Amino acid sequence: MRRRQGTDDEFIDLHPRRVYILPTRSGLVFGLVFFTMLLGALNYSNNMGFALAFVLTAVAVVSIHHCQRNLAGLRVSVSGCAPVFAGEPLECALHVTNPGSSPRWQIAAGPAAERTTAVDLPAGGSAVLTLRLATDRRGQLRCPQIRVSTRHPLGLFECWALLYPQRDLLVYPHPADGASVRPPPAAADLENAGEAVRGSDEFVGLRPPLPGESLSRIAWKAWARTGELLAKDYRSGAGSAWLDWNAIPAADAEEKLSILARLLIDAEASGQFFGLRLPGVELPPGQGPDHFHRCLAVLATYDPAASAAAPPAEVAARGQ
Amino acid sequence: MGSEQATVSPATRESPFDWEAPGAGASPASGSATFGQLAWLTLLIAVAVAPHVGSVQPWVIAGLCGSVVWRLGAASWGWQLPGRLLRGILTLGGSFAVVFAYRRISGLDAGSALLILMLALKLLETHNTRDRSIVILIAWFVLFASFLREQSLASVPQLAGGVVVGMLALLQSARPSGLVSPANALRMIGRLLVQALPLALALFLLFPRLPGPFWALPAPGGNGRTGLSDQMSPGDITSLAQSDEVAFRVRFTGPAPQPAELYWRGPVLERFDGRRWRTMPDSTRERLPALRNYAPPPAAGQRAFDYEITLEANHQRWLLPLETPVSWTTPDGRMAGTLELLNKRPVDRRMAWSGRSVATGSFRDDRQPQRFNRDLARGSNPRAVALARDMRLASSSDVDYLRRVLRMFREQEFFYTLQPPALGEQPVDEFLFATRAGFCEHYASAFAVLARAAGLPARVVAGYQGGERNPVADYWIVRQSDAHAWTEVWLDGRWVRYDPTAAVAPERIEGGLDAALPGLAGDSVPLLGDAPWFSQVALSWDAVNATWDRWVLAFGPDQQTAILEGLGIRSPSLRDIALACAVTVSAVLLLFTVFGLRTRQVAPDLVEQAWQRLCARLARTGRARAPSEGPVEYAAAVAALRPDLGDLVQRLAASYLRLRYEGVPAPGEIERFAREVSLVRVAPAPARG
Repeated sequence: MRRRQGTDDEFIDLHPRRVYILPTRSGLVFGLVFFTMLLGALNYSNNMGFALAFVLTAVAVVSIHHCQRNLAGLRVSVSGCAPVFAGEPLECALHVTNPGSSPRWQIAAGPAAERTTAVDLPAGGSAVLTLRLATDRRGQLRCPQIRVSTRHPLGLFECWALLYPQRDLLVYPHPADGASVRPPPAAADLENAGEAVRGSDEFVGLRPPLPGESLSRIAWKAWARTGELLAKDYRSGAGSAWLDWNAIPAADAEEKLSILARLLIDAEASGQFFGLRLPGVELPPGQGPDHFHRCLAVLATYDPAASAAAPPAEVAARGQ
Repeated sequence: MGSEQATVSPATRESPFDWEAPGAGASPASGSATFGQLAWLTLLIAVAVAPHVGSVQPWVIAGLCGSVVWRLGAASWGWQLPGRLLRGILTLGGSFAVVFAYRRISGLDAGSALLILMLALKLLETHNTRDRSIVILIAWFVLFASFLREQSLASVPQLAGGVVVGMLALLQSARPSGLVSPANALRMIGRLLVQALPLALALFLLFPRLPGPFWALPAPGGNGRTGLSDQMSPGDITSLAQSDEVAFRVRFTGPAPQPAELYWRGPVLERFDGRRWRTMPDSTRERLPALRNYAPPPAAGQRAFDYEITLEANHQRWLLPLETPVSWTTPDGRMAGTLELLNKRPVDRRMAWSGRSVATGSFRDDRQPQRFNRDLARGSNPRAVALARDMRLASSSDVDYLRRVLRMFREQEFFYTLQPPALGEQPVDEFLFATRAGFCEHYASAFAVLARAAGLPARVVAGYQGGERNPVADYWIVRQSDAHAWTEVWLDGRWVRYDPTAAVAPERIEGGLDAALPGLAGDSVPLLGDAPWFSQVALSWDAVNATWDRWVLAFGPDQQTAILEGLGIRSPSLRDIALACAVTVSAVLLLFTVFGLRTRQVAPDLVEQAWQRLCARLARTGRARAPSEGPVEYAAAVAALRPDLGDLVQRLAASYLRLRYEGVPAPGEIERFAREVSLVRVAPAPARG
């Protein structure tokens, strides 16, 4: 079905053609009971029995259209989906908007045939359904198929549409337990001592802004003068650190990534400048949430197997 | 806004949806039955079970009430519901109790009791949407079962109530997130029903009906079956006369006969054993050659009457035509050699047929009467036989003799009474010479015996005589109390009707039982029975019921055929009917589909439009909004680029989010937002160094 529909744009209009409908389990049981009633009425030529069976059958049939019209025409978009550490649920917000002039009832969403709590949408109204995706491993995930469904009005039929949002979900490595991680022995005396260490205490000059630089750090006066956007640079007493793959005393690559993630969290929390060095990847020291997340994204997508082209030192480190 | 219910309150906006363990018990709180949903179920159960209350044994109803109280108590006060083990025990115990109490497991009464017990037990384990829908399902089936017992006009409100309440219960049950307001629920249900009714009507009229049952009918409740039977002993019809029950209703499509001409012919009783009269065995009757040319053509001076009869189910085969029937419409009707119009199967359900009769007191039968038409059960009633011989000798002819017998009944001290004394071994002798008080069967029996004793072939005919005319809708109601018996004597190749009751109590024949025995007939002569307004109301109600019976309940294969013939299809087969049904239903469904797929007019979303306008303007800063970018992200990015716009853009983005996602905006708020957006001016992006 994904092949047929392709992936979806940001705003997805549930066109009637992409809305499917089938009886629910209750609907099937109801069908059986209506059939039994019909047989009984036929056998006993009982016209009140016929009336009951036919009215209920007709209501069920008409409810198919009501169910379909309740879903078709909705506009859906997915947002959020901020990266999380493996093991934490990844939350996406499914915005459902009712552009129509009549209310929509009991709209639910889910990744599979299951559905949960449903919301009602007034005419022109919208709601947010939070979807939680379990994560157990780091890496880049493709957004799974999302199923928007409704069983309004009688629960005898379920109408659904499948969405394939074009959205990559990122899962960071699960950070190692804080207590179990000793700071890498070389963390303090890494070879970065001579490098300029940026802190927040003493103004030392201007530098190109980092993406996501705090507004207060932008040198607005310099910009007004030169037209070039620069950030003010400060030097602090706190040191900066290189978080180095090779310095992590762990045998397993995933474990190393876990420990690096923990160290990143700790470094970010302490306001340190830090850089990240993995075989084949190097992020210069920096600070701030953007830098932090960029480092974590590297950890999330890092492929140790591809480091065959890495320098021999790295191979030695792995051999330990 | 559709309603306050459609509003998404902040609390429900973020549904705790879980991809990790979807479905199965993911949200136990939302899955459990709320009190409101249970209240709807309870109401439905009340509607569905009410018609059974008088019929099933009281302990079944008590069990159901207990279950309802238990379940409601569990919902509101946290009572403990029975566990699996207890439920199993209750199920087994209930089933055994039904078998023990009803001595059977099938049949209408036992079946209803079992269904109601199932309902009670299922209610005790109602936890999620599916449980609730099963309860609704069983309740609808219980309602269906009640129609097998009773489908009078009074059951129409039951049907309507059961459907509406059941749909409301189903709608509310299918909403795990909570009830919808009654007004909204009613609106939805109303729309569904209005659209469903044409479809239901098409199915009702055109769904192929099959004549006859595929399997045995349930025995009617109890054995209090009233009506004519294939035998008659003194006192049988007397007991029938106590019943006000309707036997059938008749509408004359042309002129109506005089009351004294209304003889509705039923069983012909030819075998006499000295006390009891019986019909021929079915097998003998089947072998009789058919009657031919038995009635004179109507052109020969006789008046013909056309009529429609709606027979109540009587579990007998006699169709009870007016004497003398010449034609009939029902394909299953067959005229026996005794001039009994018999249905192929017992009339187990209300049945309508129409016929034509000529009003003659006799009909031709060229065949010689059988020996048993003269049989007197040798040795029985000797005094009656002796009396007959004497009287015949004194008479000039057979007809003269019969006239003398009638005169005897009329002129001597014979009484017409509903409380005849009990008769012993020689009932005719005792009646003629001792008690001299009897009801119609006593006179008919005595007259037939006297005729046979004089050498004349004679027999007793049972049926109904007269009826009550309903002036409200111009039809006749014939009740069990109109049951009657008369005599036929074979004279010169014709069976001639002699009604000795007319001799002893002519007012019975002309004015009915009430005229002959005022204040005695019927067991339900009410205190108000004499008040004219009361009988007016009663007759009006009967007229409404008769219309209902005739047009709705008697609807069957014949009427279906008539509809198709009205559409120009000659003698439609079952296949034609099925085809017509399929075509009609498809047409209705096609209409729905066409209207359903038509795109509905979409209300313009002013908030979204304004936001898109704002984004288009802000794109001039050189930083267009990425498709995946949310309002907050984008506003921050624009602010970073253009601090002069920063505050404004972030404020507008916040307004957009609030208007878009936080419930219902205050009036005027959307317009204010749109106006602010239209005031935003963005200079082109400054050149970057």
